[in-house]
Amino acid sequence: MDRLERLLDLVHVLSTSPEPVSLAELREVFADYGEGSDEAVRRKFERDKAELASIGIVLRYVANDEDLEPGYVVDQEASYLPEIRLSAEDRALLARAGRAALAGEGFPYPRALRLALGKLGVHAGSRDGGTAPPEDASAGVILRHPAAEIGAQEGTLLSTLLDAIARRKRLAIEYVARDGSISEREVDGYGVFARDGGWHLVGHDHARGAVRVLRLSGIRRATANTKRPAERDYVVPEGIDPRSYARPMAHRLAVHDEIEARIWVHPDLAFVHEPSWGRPDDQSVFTIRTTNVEALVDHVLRLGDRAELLAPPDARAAVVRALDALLAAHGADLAESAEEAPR
Amino acid sequence: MSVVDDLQAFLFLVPYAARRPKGVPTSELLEHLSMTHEELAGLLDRVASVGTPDGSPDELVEVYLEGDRVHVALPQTFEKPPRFSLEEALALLLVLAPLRGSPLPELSKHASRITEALLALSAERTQALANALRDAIRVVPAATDRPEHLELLERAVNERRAVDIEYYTASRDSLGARELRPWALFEYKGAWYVLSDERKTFKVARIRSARLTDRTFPPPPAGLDLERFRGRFPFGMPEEMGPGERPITIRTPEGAMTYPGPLGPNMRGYVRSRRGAMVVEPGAERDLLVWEARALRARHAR
Repeated sequence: MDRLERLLDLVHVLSTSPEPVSLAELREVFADYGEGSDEAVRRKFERDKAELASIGIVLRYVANDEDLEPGYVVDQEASYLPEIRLSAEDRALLARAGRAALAGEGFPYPRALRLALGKLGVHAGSRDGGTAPPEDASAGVILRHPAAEIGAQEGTLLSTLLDAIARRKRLAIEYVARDGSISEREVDGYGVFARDGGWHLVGHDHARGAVRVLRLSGIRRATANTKRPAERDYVVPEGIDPRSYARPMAHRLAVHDEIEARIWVHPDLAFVHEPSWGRPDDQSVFTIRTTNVEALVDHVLRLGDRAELLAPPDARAAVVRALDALLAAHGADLAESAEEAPR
Repeated sequence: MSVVDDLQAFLFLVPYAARRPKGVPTSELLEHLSMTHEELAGLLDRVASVGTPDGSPDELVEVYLEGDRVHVALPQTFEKPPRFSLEEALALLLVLAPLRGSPLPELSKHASRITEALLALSAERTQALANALRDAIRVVPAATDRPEHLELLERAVNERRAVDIEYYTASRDSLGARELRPWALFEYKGAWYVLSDERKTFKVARIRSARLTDRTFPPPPAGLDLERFRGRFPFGMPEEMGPGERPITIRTPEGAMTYPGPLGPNMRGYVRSRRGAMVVEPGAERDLLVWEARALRARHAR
């Protein structure tokens, strides 16, 4: 008998029987359970039961009813979805969120998402890029999903991390740091966060004895501990929130020791930087502490003549080097004067 | 497809199709099941005898493919789909995570409410695991977003009310007052933008002040897919290139891209800060970029 057919028949038989069905009775009905020792048949039945449980179908052994013989039933309440009451707005939001998540290759559970949305009667669009008619195309927020902006390989890694975190299984990770060094880490995952399209793992790093943040793009390999799958390897300490480990500003990423930097920004534009850098002085100069001066160099390059990196001198030199490279890439002569605008 | 995949597909499609007396188009099922037509046909062949073993035909599930529709005549006991599996619950949590963490208060509340409702529909062994993950998946809003502006703009979008703003326009390098009639809000690379009814985008971080007015404006034209703007951003819609504007080709280490010109200060800033990027053509845009780079170099080299 085909295994798929056996599992479905088992669900059907246990659902239609007016009384619990014992394993002995199942052996009479199912030829597959009829062969082999009692122990071998029990193991086969337990495997089937676990397989069904993994997709939500719960088989229970009922042994405490005075009037019934002990046996197995399908717990209908625990197994099947009740009537779902979602509003049209809920469905529209789920459809748009689903479409945003499935827009790229990185979303780690595309099949599960389509199935879950199908159970809710929600269409997120077809796989070939065509879409079902938008249920609310004029909704006021155009959604994006950070998992859609990573590649399929990173998406697979993300699913490994999430599964391990849900089950509290320790992760063995091969990690490439920003300086290119490669290390093996053992990490108890506490959570993940996405910022600016990049995903990060927050967890207790055993070698370092502390909580660390690892970039998903730096994780070359991750495997969860497979020993004792039903047991948790660790407990997440109270009050851990992955967001609190998300350094929100590029100039605070830990690249080097903290230094002081001073940046002049045109007064018209200074307000844009206040949420990140605080208030400037009356000359529109910001004085900030940074652990990633390279991010400030990039920022000043973007702002052009509306900004000047005043200090430290090394950072000013980095601006000059970046511009030298840009000029060389455009075949421009470095010695030429900058006095006359081309238009 | 594994046995578990097939089980999930069968337990979804039978109740799904049984509710539709005229059957379900296969294209609709293929979308939900992530299957090819051949895989679906193969599955239906394999489940032709599901029901009571050695039972009569009326004790079996009757599911069949006719033309381009799948029909279920006898669902037997398979009348509802199973609760959400762990993967399904994780998928829904992950889909809703950016919305729950959104700095837009209405959107965040809406997504949180749906999340709670959906988690309650998970299978029993899934629920504890998914609950443990609910707070472990976070999407962090950009630090430069101005929450007070976002809250006001979300209201303006939903109520179709104009906003008076003081805005720094990077392409003209000027600070000025204007009326904004916001169609939609969207996020790009960690920053929030407003799309106006003039089909222009405004970066929220560059709004110095904002005041909600009582002036209302009509909704976007029916059929206009605002999500396309997000897909094309920041390069705009190709059909919207103005008269006399020429495409500009920029090369980055990842490849070349074409941008509807002219190249504003914002895009020149992008090229300057993007290591290995260069303007390929037209020459006038390249010359302007070079001239600005020399001026900036002179300022920092002194």
